[in-house]
Parts: sequence; structure tokens; C-alpha cells
Amino acid sequence: MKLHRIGVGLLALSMAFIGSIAPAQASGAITVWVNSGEEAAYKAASADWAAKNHVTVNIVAKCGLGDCGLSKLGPAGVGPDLFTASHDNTGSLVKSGVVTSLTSTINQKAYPAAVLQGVSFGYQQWGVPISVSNIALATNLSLVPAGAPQSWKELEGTATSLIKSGDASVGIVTHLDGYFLQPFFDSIGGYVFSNKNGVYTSTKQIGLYSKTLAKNADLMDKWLDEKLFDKSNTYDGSAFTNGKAPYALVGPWSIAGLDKAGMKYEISGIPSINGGTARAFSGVTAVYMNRFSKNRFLAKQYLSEVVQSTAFSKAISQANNSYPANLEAAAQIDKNSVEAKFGAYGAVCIPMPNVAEMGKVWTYWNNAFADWGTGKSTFGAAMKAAAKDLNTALGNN
Amino acid sequence: MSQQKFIDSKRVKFWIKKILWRHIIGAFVVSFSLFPLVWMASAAFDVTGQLSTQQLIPLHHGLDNFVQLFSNKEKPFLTWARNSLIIAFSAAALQTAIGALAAYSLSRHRFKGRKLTLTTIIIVQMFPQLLAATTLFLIVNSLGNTFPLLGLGHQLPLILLFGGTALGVNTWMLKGFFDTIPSEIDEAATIDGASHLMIFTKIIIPLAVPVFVVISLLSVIGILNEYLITSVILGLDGKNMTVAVGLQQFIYGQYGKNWGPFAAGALLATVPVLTLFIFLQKYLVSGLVSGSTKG
Amino acid sequence: MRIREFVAHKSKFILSYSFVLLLLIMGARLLQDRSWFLGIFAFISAILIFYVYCIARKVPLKYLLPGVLLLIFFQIYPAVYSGYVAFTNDSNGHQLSKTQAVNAIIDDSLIPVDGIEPISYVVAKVEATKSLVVIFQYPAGTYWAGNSQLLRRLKLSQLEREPDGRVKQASGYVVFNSEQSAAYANELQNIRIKIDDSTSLQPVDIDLMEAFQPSFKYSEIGDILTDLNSGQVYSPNDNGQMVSASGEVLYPGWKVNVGWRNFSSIISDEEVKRPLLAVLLWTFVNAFLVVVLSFLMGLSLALVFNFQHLRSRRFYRTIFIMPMAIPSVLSVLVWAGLFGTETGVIDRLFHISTPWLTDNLWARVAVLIVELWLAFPYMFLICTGAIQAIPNEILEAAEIDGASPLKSFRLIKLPLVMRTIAPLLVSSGAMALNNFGAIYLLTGGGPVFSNSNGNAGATDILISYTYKLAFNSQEGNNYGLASALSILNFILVGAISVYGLRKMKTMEGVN
Repeated sequence: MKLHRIGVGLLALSMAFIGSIAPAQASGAITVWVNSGEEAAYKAASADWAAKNHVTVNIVAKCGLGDCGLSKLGPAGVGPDLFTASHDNTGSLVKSGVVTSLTSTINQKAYPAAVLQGVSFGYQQWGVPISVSNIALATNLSLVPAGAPQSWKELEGTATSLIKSGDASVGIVTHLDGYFLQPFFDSIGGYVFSNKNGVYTSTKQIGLYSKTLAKNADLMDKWLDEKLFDKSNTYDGSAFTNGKAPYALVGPWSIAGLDKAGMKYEISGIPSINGGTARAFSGVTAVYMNRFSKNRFLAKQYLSEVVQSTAFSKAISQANNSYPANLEAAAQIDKNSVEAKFGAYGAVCIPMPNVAEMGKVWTYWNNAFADWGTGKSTFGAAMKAAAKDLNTALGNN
Repeated sequence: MSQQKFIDSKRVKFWIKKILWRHIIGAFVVSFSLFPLVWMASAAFDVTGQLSTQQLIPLHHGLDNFVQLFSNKEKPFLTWARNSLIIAFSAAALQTAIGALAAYSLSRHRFKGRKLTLTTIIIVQMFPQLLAATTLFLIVNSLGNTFPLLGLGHQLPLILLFGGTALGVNTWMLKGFFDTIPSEIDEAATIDGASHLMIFTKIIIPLAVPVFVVISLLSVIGILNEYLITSVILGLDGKNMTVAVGLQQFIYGQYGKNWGPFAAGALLATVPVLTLFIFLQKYLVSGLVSGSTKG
Repeated sequence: MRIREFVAHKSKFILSYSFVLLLLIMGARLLQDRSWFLGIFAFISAILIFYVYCIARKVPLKYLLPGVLLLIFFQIYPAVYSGYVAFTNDSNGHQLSKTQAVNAIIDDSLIPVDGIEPISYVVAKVEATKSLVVIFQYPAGTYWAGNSQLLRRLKLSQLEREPDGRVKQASGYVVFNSEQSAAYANELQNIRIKIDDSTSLQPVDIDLMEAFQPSFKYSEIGDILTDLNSGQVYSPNDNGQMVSASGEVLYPGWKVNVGWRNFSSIISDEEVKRPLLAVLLWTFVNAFLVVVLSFLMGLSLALVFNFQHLRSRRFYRTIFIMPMAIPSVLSVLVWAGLFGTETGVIDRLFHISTPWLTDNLWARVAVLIVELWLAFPYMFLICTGAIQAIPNEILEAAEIDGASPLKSFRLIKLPLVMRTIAPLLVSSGAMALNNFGAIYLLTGGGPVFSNSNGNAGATDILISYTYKLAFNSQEGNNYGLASALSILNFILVGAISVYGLRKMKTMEGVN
């Protein structure tokens, strides 16, 4: 019977509890979903504005599930007001109808054209850019005292001679997938969607097996044989830090690891076989607005006064290891810093396509790389098959 | 003297014939069992934080990973551990209580639809809850609009949600065990004027303690392992996460995996569960089997 | 003293009554907040509890109800909802209602009108109807009060103005100051005031409107959207989209019922069907192999180590069950790291270069190894228990009768063990069919089939494939199709379990 008395007591308590709490009021507050782990940076960068305007800025880490139910929560009127996403999602977000246009909010002069291109879809711009990230070439200065290669010839020559002499086990440490190998793909004439100076023109024209690429495809096979790349099932990520590889493709997220290993390296662009620089993909992190936000005025004010500020772009870029999208913030970065080297290369990179079709591209394209990287197929044959499958999947012919 | 020798050689022969090969098999299975655990421990003390290039005895060992684990304000491991403990133990208690109540009735009472109930509860649990994640998210979200404590980011709805999975395999096991308690005991008690509730609390529960221990232990482990629904309901806000969800944040991302702190955290999370297991293992064998003999 | 006795005696009733009351209050609050489903569920629960515990005194139900209510709320309702979703085209691009979708198409096409400067406004309510309006002047000197539905010209005599022309008071209207206006931001942001056929004013801030021109116009007559620039006409199709005669689709679309289309596409749609057969096959092969292998391993270990003269058998037992004790989320991730997508520890340890996780066959082997590692301790435990439960007399009798160890195993131990274990094997099998965690965390279902629209891979089982369709698809989440597949999955697993349970019942005559 004692059990029951405890039960009654608990019940009374819980009733008092539930009765006393009023539902939260939403006025004077905006909610922003950000990537898990970046909350603190966003909170710090928003604090002054929030205090000055007597507004609560709720920075919330996203859930782990797809779009966190946004596509369902939004129409139900209970999503966040703003959320961050990488720009390549723009197309699918717009097609879902969950974001609202920010063209008139975005200060066009504050960002490079390529960055704005990334957040554009249809007639409108949809996200306020914060930071840009891309991969770059890292050169191990103790193996290659001459520093970053100026041409493809130099790179290939250095790498192959080091491998021959046994000083290196592999030329360029890299994952063998579309994202990492895009610069080489670009260099030998392949492309995902047809584009002109980095502006995509049509999703109907796929260049996975373009004429130029078909001609140059053997080069990739040759490079794999030369051990310029390691077969993907023998990849050793530590070869670069252990001094067994002259070059590596790295992202801003790899820098901490390189520094920790205490190595001397230089960051640069990737030379193209045709001279000049081969283009990697650049990705923009941007803030998008929920179409069904109840606080669009306040959210827009936040975007204009906080997110578009130089300080914000700088602070968040620092926190997520990338380069500021804001031109003024970028200008403030020390020209000799690693970030600046990434940024300098990023400026000539091509924005990752932001159309919804890109999902299928990743699948078929990465598969082709995997087939080639594990030796199942030659590069040309893999890309030819991928192009064919992709065209069918996208209904292009 | 020679007799002594004879016995010794007999013993040795016996040892070689009957024992040695058991130890050989044992060694193999032990190394298989402990394989990931050993590497987890090794990675936890390796400061380079790269599982793929790991040596068994790390070249650069130290406590860096633990320092990193405990000093990260956005990934507060201790808070996760507390959250995990609260959720796992309250939900396991709820599950065991609900399961025991139902199992008692299913074991002792004869009523229409009893067999159907037994079949239904086990079949219903086979509906993949994964896919219901969005629906649960929406339910809890709208509950939270009215009662903030029952909303997203709170532990109470998650605990109740786990309570919803109580009727299932565990109920069967409990019922199986209750079936082994002779009903003559109940009958005698009924004649003495005991109510069904008194029989349940005074007779059945004390007898079933071992099996409760097993069921609770399995529930605790099951709940500690759940990460999908947990992350959907609690969100990924640093202070709300559980160990299972939180540690994954370290190795989230395709290219930037940070194995060190993950391994350190995993090791710390494993030790208490393992200890509990070792202490309770004598219950495990009897509990699992007695629960199933008459499933 | 008497009160205490009374409370003690009546505590069951007090408990039930207060619980009922609690649920009623919660229900009322939920209905007040327009959570209809939740509110009604709370009321029904209250009634049920009241009926079972206070009126009917159904003893069995008293014990079952708490579990059943939670089961209905957190398991059955979501399952039923999935059933509903399976008959819709619920997917990315089909989440909105039709009105929302049409408005979204129009809003996305809005372009600022060049000639018109931003117009400041004040917020007011019509005294008579209490409807919210904005008061503004356009062009200078002409005052209007309007919202999405109405637009009235105001006489200058009605107004009291600031020196800068801003309206301070208007007769017939309650004019708000800027602080009061802020409370109406949510309504203001949705106001569209049509000032001519193609131009509308729209608040962009708490006191400022801008003029916009849409590129689309919706007319309810005929249910069509017209592109104002090209004259192209779009009308709805049966998949919840606005489509032109030439087949050009406008986004977003909306959610509609599509009947059995999701189910039929499982059979007819090449992209769905192609990987499905392989996935289904692996689902069964995987479950079968895991159960059989872990059972064999568990049984042999139980036989080998249940040997009295082995002094360290306790030590072995403790170590063998350790995989059960390590939280599997963590251990599977460690395994994934050990196999490595590239060169992992395992390869270096054994000096091999096996494409674990990148080759179809090896990835399957890796999955089996990990699943075996996860499952054998349980099998070992229950087999040990079952063997220990065999009465010694039987075995001794067999030995006296001269049965060889093998014979006594085959004829006595095995049947007795199987009797105990068979039901557990059935439930293990059912669980293995749904073993999402191990596969998702280890391989993510990969390596991906190159022709599977990217979602299915060599180690995908039905449930992980379904999950990826619903939440992790690179080409947009398809809840409708995923729900249909999960129903299929449920039917398959359920049928097998029922079959198993039946089989088991005939084996031992369940009481």
C-alpha cells in the first residue's frame, strides 16, 4: 500500500508541474538551426545584436535526420526561422518549397559573383552566404623543398621520381571520389553539367564522358599505375604526414591534423595538364529562411544586420575552418595564412552544382570512381557507363 | 613414488586430451570477443586519433583524448553520460514495470483474446519504428507546444516512448518465467484472502527478482544503444545528447573523423556496462533460459 | 489515524481518479491549443482508465492497460500513419497543401518593381470588424487602408497626421504605435495589397512596404496558373504538380493521394525494382546466416566450455559475453574503423589487402563477421543455460547405457536444447531481418549498386534501404515509397514470425 501513496504523491506533483507551466511565447525571438558543434560560434556572434535589440536568438543544433523534418515542420508552422545549409542543397530546398527568396535582403556587393551564383536558383537568390570551403593541394616541404608545383609536369615529375627512388610510396594522397578528384577530372576535360566560366548552363548536358575526357581517359589509368594515386583499397591517409608522399589533397578540416603531426607543408591550387589551374568544387555555407517562419521581419533584420556583417562571416568561417564569403572579411585575412591560400585557390574553383539532379550525379559518378579506383574497370569505361546510366536516370534521352 | 608419477602422467594426459584444446579454442574466441575492445582502448590512448593507422601499442600515447573529451564545452561528455543514465534507468524501470504487469495478467488470468494479445504484441513490435521517426517527431513537437516538458529536447517523452516498446519480447520472457511459478501458490494465497494485487506484489515479484534483473539489464543496454529516435527527439544540442548520439559527433563527416576522443568516450561508456554485466552474469544464464523455457 | 487508514484503503481509487483527472486536464489544454489528435487521445485514455479501474473492474485489463496505451500512442499510431503515407506522394517537393504550393510558386516569382519607392505604413484595426489593415499613402497625398482582402480609400478629413505625413489617428480605425505593431508581425508579413493587375504591395518590415510584380497569376476558374510573361498556362496533374501542356513542371508541388501507385511502383518502376530483388535476397540470406552461424557457434562453445574439469570456464564465459555488454552503437563503429574504407587495422594486422566495405562480397563477409560477433554471446548464454538445465540423471543413464558422447549429444542434448531454444531462434531471426543498426553503422548499406538510383547497396537489407529512401536519399526523400516498403517489410517479417510461432506452438502445445 505504501507504493500507492508514493504514486498519489508523484501524481499530485506532476499535475502541479504540468499545470503551472505556460506554453513558451515566441515573440521577440528567432530560432536558427546550425550544424552540431558550431552553436557556440553562432551564439557568440549574435549576442551583441540580441542584447541591443532585446531579441532572443535561439541557436539550436540540427537533428540527425535528413532535413530534420523541416519539410514537414515548415508547413505545420513549427520549424525554425532560419537554418544553415551547404549551397548544393539550394535546388532541392527550393523545389520542396520550404525556403523563401532572399534576393532583396542580400547585399549583392558584399560577395563574389561565384558565391552568389551558388545560392541562386531560378530567378532568385535563396541563402545569405557565410563561408566558402574547398580542397587544395598540400605539398610536403621536407620531401619537396622546391615547394608547391607550378605546373602539372613538375608535379608528375617530382612524384614519379620520388616513388622510383623509394622515398615515397604514393604521389598524391587522396580519396578516390568525385569531390576529391574533380580538379583532375576538370583538367582532362570532364565536367558534370555544361558550364561557362563556372556558370552552369544546362543540366541536360552531362560531361562525365565528354569528347575531351574520352580522349584523355587513359591518363587517369596511367596515373593510377604510376602510383600517383593509390588504389582506393590500399589508401593510407597517414602516408602524407609520415613523409611517404610528396602531395595530398586536403580540406581546411585537415589542417589541424597536419599541424599536430608537426610537418612543414604548403597549400596551393592544383595545376592542370593544360597549364593554369584545375578547378576543384567550392562549397558555400549559407543561411536560408523558412518560408513558413512567423518572424520573417525580425529574421530578415538579423540577416541584414548580423549574418551579412564582416565580423560574423569572419567569426563563423574561423569556427568551421573555412574561408569567409564576405569580401571585406576575406580581405582582412593575412595573405600568407593557410586560410588565405585555400581562399586564393577557392576563387578560381567552380561552385558545386546546386540543382536537385546533383544527388543522382554523386551516386553514379562516385561509383565510377570506385570501380576505377579498385581496378574493376578502366577510367574511360567507368565514366562511359556512368554517363549512360546517369542520362537514363535523369531522363535526358 | 612411481605411483605419484603415474597419477601425474595420467593427469597430464587428461589435461592434454580434454583441457588443452579447450584452451586453444578459448584463446581464439577470447581474441575475437575482445578484438574491438582492445583496439578501442588502444585508440583511446593514441594521441594521433587515426584508427586506420593505429598500432596495437600506440606510438604516441597519452591522455590527450581524455582531456579533449572532458574539456570540450560543446560536446560535454559528462552531461551525456548523465542524460544516458537518467534515460536508460528510468525507461528500463518503466519497461520492466509495464512488462511485468502485463506478463502477470497474461500468465495468470484466462480471458478472451489472451492468445491474440500475446501474438499481437510481438508482431506489432516488428513494425519498423525507424520510419515512424518523423511521425514521432511531429507528435512530440505538438505535445511540447502545450506541455514544454513533454516536448522536443526533453527526456520525459523519450522515456515514455521507450515505455511504448515494453510490450513485446520482454513480456514474453517474463510470462515464461511467471508460468514456471506453480499456480498452487497463488491458489493457496487466494484461499487465505489475498487479492490479485497482493499475490503479484508479495509472491510473484519477490520470486522473479533474477529475471527482472535480466530484463532490466537488457532494457538498459537496448536503450543505451538507441540513437536514431533518441537524436530525433532530443535534438543535437550539445547538452541534450546521450553518449550514443554524442560520441558519433566526433566521427561524423566523411573526411574529418576524430577517432581519439570517440574511442576514449566509448571506452568510458563501456566500462560501467561491462562491470554491471560481469556482476550480474550469474542471473543472465538462469534468467534468459528460465524466461524462455516455456515461452 | 483514521484518515491515514482511509487513504491507505482508498489509495487505488485516489490514484485512478487523479490520473483520470490529469489526463482530462491535459486533454483540455491540448484541444485548447488545437492539437486535436492528441487531445482526443488524452480524453479516450481518461475514459478507458476510468472504465477499467473504477467501473468495470476488469482484472486482466488493469494489468495490461498502461502498456497498451503507450503501445497505441507510440507504436501503433505512427505505424498506422505510415500506412496512410504509403498511399500519398509524400516526398520532397510534395509536402505542402495545394494552396500553399500555388502561393509558393507565385511568391517565388516576385520581382521588385523598379519605379516605386518603398512606402511606409502604419498598422491599424478596423473598429467595426477588428480586421487588421495597413494605412499608407500612394501616390503621395492619397491615403489607403488595406489588407489582402480589402482596399479602401481614406478621406483626408478622417485623418490626423504627423508633420511628415505619417498617419497618427484615423476615424473608424484604431491606429497602433510601432511597439504595438510588432506583435502583428506574423500577420503583416503575409499581407499582399493588389494595387493594379500585376503589382502588389507587400510589407518587408514592420513599417515599410515594397511593390512587387509576380510572374504568375492563379485563377480559380479553371484552376490554372498563367505565366504572365509568356502566356503559358499550367494546370494540375494527378501527381500534385502544375504542368504545362508541353510537360514543363512548376515547383513546389503538393501532397495528394495516389492510391496504390507506391505499391505498384515497387513492382513496375525499374529504378525501384532492380535493386529490390537483390536487397530482399540479402535480407533473408543475411538473417538466416547470422542466426545459424551464431547458433552453431554459441552451441559449440556452450558444449566445449560447459566442462566441469575446466577450471577457467567461468573466466571464459565472462569474456565470451563481453560483446553483449559493449554498447553496440559504439562497437560497430569501432569495427567499421577497423575494417576501414581504405586500409584498415585488420588488413595490416593480417598483412592482407582485402577490399572490406568496398567490394560487394567482402562487405557482406564483414557484415556477417560483425553480426556474428554481436550475436554469438547471446546464443552461447542461452545454449549454456539450456544444457545446464538438462537433468544429469538423463545423461548419466545414457552413459550407463553405453551411448557414445556423439550419440548422447544427437539424441538427448540437441533435442532438449532445441526445445528450449527454438522460440528464441525465431525471435532472433525476426530481429535479424530488421537489424538496421549493424548494417547502417558498418557499411551504410554499401557498396552501392551502380544501377540502383543510388539508394541500394550490396549489404542493404530491406529496412536500411527503406530508411535511405525516406531520410537519406541523395535525390530527395520519398516518404510515400518508403512507407509502402516498410509495410511490405512488416508483412514479410510478421508472416515469418507468425509462422514461426505457430510451428513452435505445435511443437510444445502452448498453454
